[in-house]
Amino acid sequence: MIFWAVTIALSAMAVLLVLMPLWRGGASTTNRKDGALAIFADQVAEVDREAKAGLLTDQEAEAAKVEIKRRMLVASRTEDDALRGGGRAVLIAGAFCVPFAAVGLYAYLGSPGTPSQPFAERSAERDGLAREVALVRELRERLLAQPDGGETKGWVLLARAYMRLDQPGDAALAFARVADREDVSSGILTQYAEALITAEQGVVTNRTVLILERALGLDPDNPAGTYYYAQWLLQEGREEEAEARLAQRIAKESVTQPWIPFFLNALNGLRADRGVPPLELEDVLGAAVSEDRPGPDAADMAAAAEMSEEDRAAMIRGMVDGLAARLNDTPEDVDGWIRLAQARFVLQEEDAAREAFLRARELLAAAPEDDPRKQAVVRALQQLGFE
Amino acid sequence: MIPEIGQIALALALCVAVLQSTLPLVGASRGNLLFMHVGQSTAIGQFVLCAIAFASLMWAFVVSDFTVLNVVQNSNSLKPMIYKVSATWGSHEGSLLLWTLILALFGAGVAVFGANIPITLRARTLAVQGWISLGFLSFMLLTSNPFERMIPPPLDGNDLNPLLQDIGLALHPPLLYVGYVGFSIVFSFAVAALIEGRVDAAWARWVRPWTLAAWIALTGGIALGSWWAYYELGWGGWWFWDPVENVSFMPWLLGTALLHSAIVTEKRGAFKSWTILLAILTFSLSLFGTFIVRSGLLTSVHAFAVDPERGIYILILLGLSIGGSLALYAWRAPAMEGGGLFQPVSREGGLLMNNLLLAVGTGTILFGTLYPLFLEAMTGAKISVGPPFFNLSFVPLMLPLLFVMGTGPFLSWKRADLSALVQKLRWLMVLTAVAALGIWYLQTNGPVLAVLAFLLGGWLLIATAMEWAQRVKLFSAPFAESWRRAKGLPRATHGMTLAHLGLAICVFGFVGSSAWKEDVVTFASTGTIVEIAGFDVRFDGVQRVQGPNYVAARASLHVTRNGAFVTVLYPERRTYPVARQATTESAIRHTLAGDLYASVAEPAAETGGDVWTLRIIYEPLVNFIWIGAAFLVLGGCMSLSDRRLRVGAPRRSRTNPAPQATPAE
Repeated sequence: MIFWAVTIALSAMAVLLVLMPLWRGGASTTNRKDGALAIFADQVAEVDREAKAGLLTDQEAEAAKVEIKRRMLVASRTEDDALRGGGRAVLIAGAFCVPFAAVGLYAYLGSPGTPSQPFAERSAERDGLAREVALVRELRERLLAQPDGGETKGWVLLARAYMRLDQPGDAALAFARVADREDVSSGILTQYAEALITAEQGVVTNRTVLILERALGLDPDNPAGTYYYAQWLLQEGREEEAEARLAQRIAKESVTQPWIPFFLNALNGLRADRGVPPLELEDVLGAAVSEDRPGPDAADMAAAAEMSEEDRAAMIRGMVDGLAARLNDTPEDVDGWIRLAQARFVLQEEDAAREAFLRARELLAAAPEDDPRKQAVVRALQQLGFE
Repeated sequence: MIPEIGQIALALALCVAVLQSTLPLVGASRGNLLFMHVGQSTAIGQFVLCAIAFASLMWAFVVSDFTVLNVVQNSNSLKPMIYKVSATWGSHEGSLLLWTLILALFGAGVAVFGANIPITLRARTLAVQGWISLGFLSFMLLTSNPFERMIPPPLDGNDLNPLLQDIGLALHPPLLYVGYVGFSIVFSFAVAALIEGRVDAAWARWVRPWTLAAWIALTGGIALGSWWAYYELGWGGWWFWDPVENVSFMPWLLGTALLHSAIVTEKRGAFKSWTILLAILTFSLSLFGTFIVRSGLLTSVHAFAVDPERGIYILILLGLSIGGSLALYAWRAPAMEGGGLFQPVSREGGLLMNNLLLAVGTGTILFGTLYPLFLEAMTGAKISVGPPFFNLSFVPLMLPLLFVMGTGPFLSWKRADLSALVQKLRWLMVLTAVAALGIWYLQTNGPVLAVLAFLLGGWLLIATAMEWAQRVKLFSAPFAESWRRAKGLPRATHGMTLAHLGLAICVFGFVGSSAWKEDVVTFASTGTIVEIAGFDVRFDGVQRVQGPNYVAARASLHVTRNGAFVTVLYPERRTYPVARQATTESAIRHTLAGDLYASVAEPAAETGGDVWTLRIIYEPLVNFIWIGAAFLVLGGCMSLSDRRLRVGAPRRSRTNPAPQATPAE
């Protein structure tokens, strides 16, 4: 591989540079006495020159020369230490330690073989994005052109596209168009709130709270709405109320829901702050739990598919983002990555799904060949057209 | 792959630095020639490896490789190429890499060009340089790796700060760094001399060119930085006593002191331990400056705690280098024998005054810069120490310096004849007094300090010119004779004259542009006329102009003087939609007599429609600052090219061990 070839070449160069004195032993050297005497001689010459130019009186020049000559005398009396040879073996050993130590250090710090991706070579990625941007723009123009202000469904579609493009501010503007309409649902309002929160970098503003309150007014059980409302309570320093809200909402469920792990996570975070042991899924749901499966997977996604479209999207989006955020902190969690990948796949975010599967495959590299997860990941990757 | 190669080059450089910092020391103490030579070979290797690493990082910026986190954070594919290149050293990590590269560059410089330096001193110096490299490379690799990767890469980078997209800003940090880091080699020489236990006149001569090179770069860097602040920030000022500026100014002041005290050490064998101390302190202040700026400590004590890992490492590095070297100094310096004696009125006395004033000035600035920090740490109160403090404390300290600077070069070594001096300077005093009276007349009720400073600037200018004229017997001998004499003078002498003239010119600029500045801020609508410094400036409205990545509101200002057309100025207010930032592009009419400086901004509430905030400043003599700075740099270069600095007789160690002085020039 080119990378290792270059590494070896660099190491060889470093070793050779260090060893240079071995065959340049006769390089010029100055010893202290010679160097100092040369400089004093030059100073004497300078005094002579200045005296000749009339810048110094003869008396001054003589005094200066006496002083310099005294220094010359001192310098010529000092003996430099005798120089000796030897030490070849130590030098060679030291020089050869360099590449090994360096590669060891590099192995700890670097990511060997990770390819570069210059901007110019990533046009395919950009084209994909450009297509999406163009579609979004087209949709927006079509909606704006409609005399009745455009269909609610259309605006919601547009807003979600903006969210995907990481333009939460624009998404919020699109949601705002329909927020006051008759046909707005609790789900749309929570997505609106989510867009605002993302745009504000996680801060729940007063305006957002009003929207959340409206969403919960339409559907008091809206999980995403409840979740964000609890976030606001936390932000206000009302931990107990936030905890109660989350706990009450979970308590209404007898069967596990895809969003419950996120609620539980937040709940347990708050409990940890109080020094109370964390709750297990069984504790909150009781015996009614059919299957212990933290995080959304394909089956959860299918279950979610039976809900109204808006609710589902809002919820899944929130959960998937939560999972992704959690994986940032615990990047070694193989099952987490697989769940995230499956969720992304269901959301038809194929690039992101592939990315997550690849992470899982990387982590599974050391696992035994018959690990079922390993095969599942490979199958999924094939399905995504990845060898 | 290329970023990984950069990283492996850094790892190799670190390991080479380990050899560089140990073997030559052992060699120097045991007289082992081979080990001492390792100092040179590793210093060169160090430089080559750091250059490869730096080139790799620069490549990543040039092609916008967003798999490198540093590129993501500090660049963007839309940036013009030159700013992609300059972004390489724009971040904390990148600037550290540049630091290390320059560190290695100076080490390699001594390895390649230091043939006239005694081998033991050279080996020890390079070893000390190796310690510094070791500290920096480990700090970089362990806490601030510039080659951190980002997989998957984002589609584009984050940074488009338009304020930083400016040629002055892009180029002045490298110059500043060459200055800061250049003092590292002087520091290494000082520590090596302490280890060796010998400082003599010859040592001062060996160190001089390296000090000069660093000083020239620092002077240039500071001047360029103030030039950038002047035309880009839109405030019409060129120096704000901002902590970031102060930390670059302090090493400059001490470096200037060092340059002068080294002369005494060289000529008279005196000031030895003081010169060593200055060498240590100058670099300590450079280190301190870089880290203080980079650690965010200056904005707030609390910013420091954001990244404790880095903070602690920085503190340990600073403690080891500054504390260690000062401890070594305390241990070894008292053993140094004193040098030649001198009378208070003498060249030495003048240089002592210079050192004293520069050191006290540095202390004043250090106090003003750090005091708010300590106060915040102790009491939590936030205060800022601004120009009033520095103008009242630092400026008066510098005035006597100007006086001494004018007189010093006339004084002879050891003891000078005061009455003869007064005799010599009689005409000068009269001339300066007349000039001062003239200014007083033109500028009644003018600020006393300004007139005094101007007077001293004039004093320095004329005295320096007179001193030079006397050396070459200008007017007292035929011109041909003077010309011959001028050619015969050592270049260092010309260098001194140029640098001192430069400072005098700077002083005119400092005083003119701060004391006699006129400043008008007004709300302007089409047709508004502003009168300033004899100019009539008519506001002709604002046009929208589309730039490559910004939209600008461009104002037209029709400038006349006594009815005669002078020029049209086009200040702009640029808005960068992608970065959501606005910048001020001031329009300046440069003349030697003064700059007419205009900038425009939207009024706070845009209700007024066509009403704009117009700021017009007249800055008399401001360009003298940069002309003077150019003289300083030129003088430094002249001095650096003095061939006496290359005296020393390298010879093949095997062939002729007998001492033999080189023939005089």
